[in-house]
Amino acid sequence: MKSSSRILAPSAVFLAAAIVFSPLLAALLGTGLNPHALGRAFHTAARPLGGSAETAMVSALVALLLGVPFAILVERSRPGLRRVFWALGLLVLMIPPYIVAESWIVLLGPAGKISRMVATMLGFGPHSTDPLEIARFSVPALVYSWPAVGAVMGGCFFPIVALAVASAFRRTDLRVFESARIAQGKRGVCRIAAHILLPPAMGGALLVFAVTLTEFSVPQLMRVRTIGEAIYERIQEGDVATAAALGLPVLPVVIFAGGLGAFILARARSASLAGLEGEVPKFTGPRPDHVSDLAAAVMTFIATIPAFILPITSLIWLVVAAKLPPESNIGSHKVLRASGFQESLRGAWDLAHDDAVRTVLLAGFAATLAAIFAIMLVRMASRIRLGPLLGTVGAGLAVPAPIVGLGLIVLWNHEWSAAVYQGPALVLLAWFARYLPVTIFLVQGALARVPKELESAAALAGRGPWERFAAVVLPNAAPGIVAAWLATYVLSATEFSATLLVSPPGGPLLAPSVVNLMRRGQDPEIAACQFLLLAVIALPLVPISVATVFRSRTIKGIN
Amino acid sequence: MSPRTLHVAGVAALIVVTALILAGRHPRSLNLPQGQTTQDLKVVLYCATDREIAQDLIDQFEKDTGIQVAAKFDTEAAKAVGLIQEIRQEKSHPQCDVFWGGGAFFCTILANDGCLEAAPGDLVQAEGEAPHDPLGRWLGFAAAYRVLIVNTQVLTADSYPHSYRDLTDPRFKGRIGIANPLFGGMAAHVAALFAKLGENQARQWLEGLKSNDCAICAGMADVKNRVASGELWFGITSTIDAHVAVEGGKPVVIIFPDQEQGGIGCLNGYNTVGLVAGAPHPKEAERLLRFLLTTSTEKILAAGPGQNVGLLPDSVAQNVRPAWIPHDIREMTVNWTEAVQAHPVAIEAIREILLDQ
Repeated sequence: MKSSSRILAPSAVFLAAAIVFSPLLAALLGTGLNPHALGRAFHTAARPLGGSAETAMVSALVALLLGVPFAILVERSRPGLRRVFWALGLLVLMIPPYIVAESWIVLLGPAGKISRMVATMLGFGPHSTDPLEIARFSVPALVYSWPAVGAVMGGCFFPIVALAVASAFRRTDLRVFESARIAQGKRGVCRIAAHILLPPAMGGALLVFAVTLTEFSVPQLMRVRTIGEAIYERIQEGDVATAAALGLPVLPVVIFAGGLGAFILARARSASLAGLEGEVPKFTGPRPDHVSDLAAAVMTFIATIPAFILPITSLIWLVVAAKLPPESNIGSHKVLRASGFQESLRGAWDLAHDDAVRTVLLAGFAATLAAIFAIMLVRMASRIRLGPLLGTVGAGLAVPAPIVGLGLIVLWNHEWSAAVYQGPALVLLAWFARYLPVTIFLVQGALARVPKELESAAALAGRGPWERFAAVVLPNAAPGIVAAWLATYVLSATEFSATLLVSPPGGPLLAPSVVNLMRRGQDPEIAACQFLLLAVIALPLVPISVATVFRSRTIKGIN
Repeated sequence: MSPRTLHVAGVAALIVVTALILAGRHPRSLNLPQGQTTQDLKVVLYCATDREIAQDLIDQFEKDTGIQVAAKFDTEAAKAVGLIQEIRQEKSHPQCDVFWGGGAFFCTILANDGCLEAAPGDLVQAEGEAPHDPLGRWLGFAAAYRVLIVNTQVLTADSYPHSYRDLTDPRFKGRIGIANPLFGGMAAHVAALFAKLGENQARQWLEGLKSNDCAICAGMADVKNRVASGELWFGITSTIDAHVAVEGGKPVVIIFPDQEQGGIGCLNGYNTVGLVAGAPHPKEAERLLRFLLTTSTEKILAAGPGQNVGLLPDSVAQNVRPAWIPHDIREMTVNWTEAVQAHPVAIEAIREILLDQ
């Protein structure tokens, strides 16, 4: 078995690297690199690169500030409430960052529904009843700044930090805190907490940093110039090779950040949702009371404000206000123009229901395939100690989406590959190129939490490798694998920059369609489209929730 | 995880998938000749025009001809890196038959790159006074204008702007916006200004924008949203986006700029359509082209969300236009070949002046 792994594992690692990096290489080499243009591009990319780094640092910081206290306080609440708080916290991951950014502008922008009201209440508004003066009042455009972009991205991805911290917290025997308290008081507790919780928190934060670095849609909406925009400019000029090359400086940063994060998390064996199902600590400390429940509830509220409460508030506001004047119904065209949210939703469904179904099936298939491949890859790689090498695949996160799309066109648009190019396979390849690193990372964490001793015991009992995997590894790693599947599904279903380029003609997918309708539409249409997109993203939660409920009942029945 | 749990999860997933497949099934009634299926006749359309504008016409074409349209749409959020770049990258092995949209500027770029081929001579002739490429590689129809969208709650009628130059008026400092001029339609607009005004005047205008703290928005729809909310007082957008705001009851008014005697006029960002060179379905592509370049198409576009104005000779004779768009719009005359040539200079100036690079 081990000898076959020696051949299969490097091949699988090579295949993963090929899937992730081949579009970048094709874009770099297949479109002709011009050294002069490259030099010029790098000369002008310093500032955008700085913008990207600044937003990424703020996002990591925000994720830390929200994720660490959230994890600790929620973990200390009662089990029933804990599940509710975690469900709310994880819902944040379901909302695409570009919807969050739009809601920030609508609610907190210079003419924001909330910001103007608050500023007026605080006395900053005009001291006049002149309607013109009142209408002209606006608050400072803080929302159009790199810290705001960082706050949005950090708010969207804080659950990554929270999951890592919660996982470590659950695996900790709380007697160490008690010992530290007796020995050194509060200082001792803080020191031991920092020792246990800081590494996973930093690991998660580094991942958030890496994910934010090449984000384009949020900085674009919030008028912050980043490396993503510089890359788009080169593409518009038709210089795809230079555009691809501009992404290269980000690569080592992401490799370093992602690799370090993966290393820290792997060491803590806590890189996934697996932590929520972690081993029962030997000593659980004082029982949770109302105070700890209240603290957890307050923290959940605070943590979900940026990327859940604000977008949902904005959506509700749109739904409530979504009513067009009756005289506006012009012509007989079949679009979403309608008199309210429900009609718009019906119109959106009529126009894009094929796209929605296609997206759910394709994203579900992509997530399943990616999860299966990642499990096999991680198992084989860890057997011959190639696990750390998988961290390099994480650099794929630094490849901008349009480069992935254009690179795949260069790579696959040939006579011999027409079947791949003209079908949905190309979309799958684009999603794998973008998100396979995420799947691998999460699966790596999920498998790492399965104690090796259990598998060894099963081997001693005469179980073969497949039986060991099915009976020991899979049940223990299942929550983490489900998390990996879900993350891949959500990211794939909401991706539009690469999807737009590679989706086959006649087979549009939901995210590009909805994003455009949201930009172009009226309030009822925008609300309907946001609702439709969120509903599609949340759809897989139905079977997962059903399974979770039955699982709890089964466990209760056994007990 | 117990086997029972797995079974329940599996059944639930199966129900969801089955429901999805059933929801996705919908019969299409096409007037196909006997014995012919939609698989036999197909045309691939790359459509930079919005889907909600184009879909009615695509459905109508399929119904009339039995030719299945495999359409691929663009999104404003992808800037100009969508279909135009895809056609460029596919040049050696084209997949697309017809390219609809992009405007004269980007179609000229594609034509210069050898990605578009000449349309049949009779179609070029039938264009009459409508704008088109001299070699027939792209043909214009269905006008949409670049206008000023003004918030009526913050500006009174006597202080409305009337020219693109008003964007540099210090009275409006910090309250004006344009779409990012490095991308899409605004890139074409600025390149057209460079070609029309000359480099010096165009650079002065950009410097004026910079000193007036002009907001660089994510797109023309974004400009519309920010003006409608009152965050910006006015900005440049298209008639398509501006009309969405008016129709939605937002406090805005649409102004066709530079209409005064001697003014440079309002930019016409009309629709364009072209045949892709080496297209895999040339006959079907030609039929689609003929279908699009008709007065009945322009009538549908005028009545639809695009609110376009007919440009083809018959449409002009029949005055195909939405009622709210005036008849005597003074249009900016643009030589798009010169605009494409001016584009690199414009890009450099935008980077240097607006983006401080």
